Amino acid sequence: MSSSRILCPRCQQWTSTQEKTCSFCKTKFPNELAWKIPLIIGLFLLSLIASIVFALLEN
Amino acid sequence: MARITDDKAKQTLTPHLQSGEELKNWAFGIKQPPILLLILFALFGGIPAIIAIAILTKNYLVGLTNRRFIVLRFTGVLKIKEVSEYTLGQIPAVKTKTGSLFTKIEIQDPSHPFKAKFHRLGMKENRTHSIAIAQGLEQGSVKAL
Repeated sequence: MSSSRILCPRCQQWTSTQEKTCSFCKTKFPNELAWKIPLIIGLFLLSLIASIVFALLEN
Repeated sequence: MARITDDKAKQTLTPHLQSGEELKNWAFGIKQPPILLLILFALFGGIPAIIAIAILTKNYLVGLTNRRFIVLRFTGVLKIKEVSEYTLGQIPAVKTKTGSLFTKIEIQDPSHPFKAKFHRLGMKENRTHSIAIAQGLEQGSVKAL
């Protein structure tokens, strides 16, 4: 038998991970990748732009 | 590595124990993104790749008791985000592997799968504890692979 609980970031109560919203305050659980993926893409784009700018400055 | 002390690990796991339950072993583990993603990141550049891998790596503090295997997923300084528990003797299938650096533990539970690797320097005695947990899980699983 196994179970999994997630901590609600708003009311700090535990809810089963099978639920999409908090059982206590009905807050929708945010997807952690929702901010991670844009951040990672942004970092790579920033490094690409920086490398292009440095290459142009060298020439 | 070795950022979690034994006392801190026990303090963090204790609130998740049931009455009469005894904590036997504890260990710090991580789950990194798939290797193909790591290679892809590395192809695009050094520093962003390191940051991306750090962001996508999940940290776990696990504990083996006389009844259950408890998994705490945390961020930062032991800020618990998710708790999973597996009753010993009712775990569908467990796969473990011990190499020179890492002990790998995989629980093949269809509803709550778990996979992490435990570096020998992850905590003081992380190697001893992770091997003991792996053996305990294999004994407590319905079908050891």
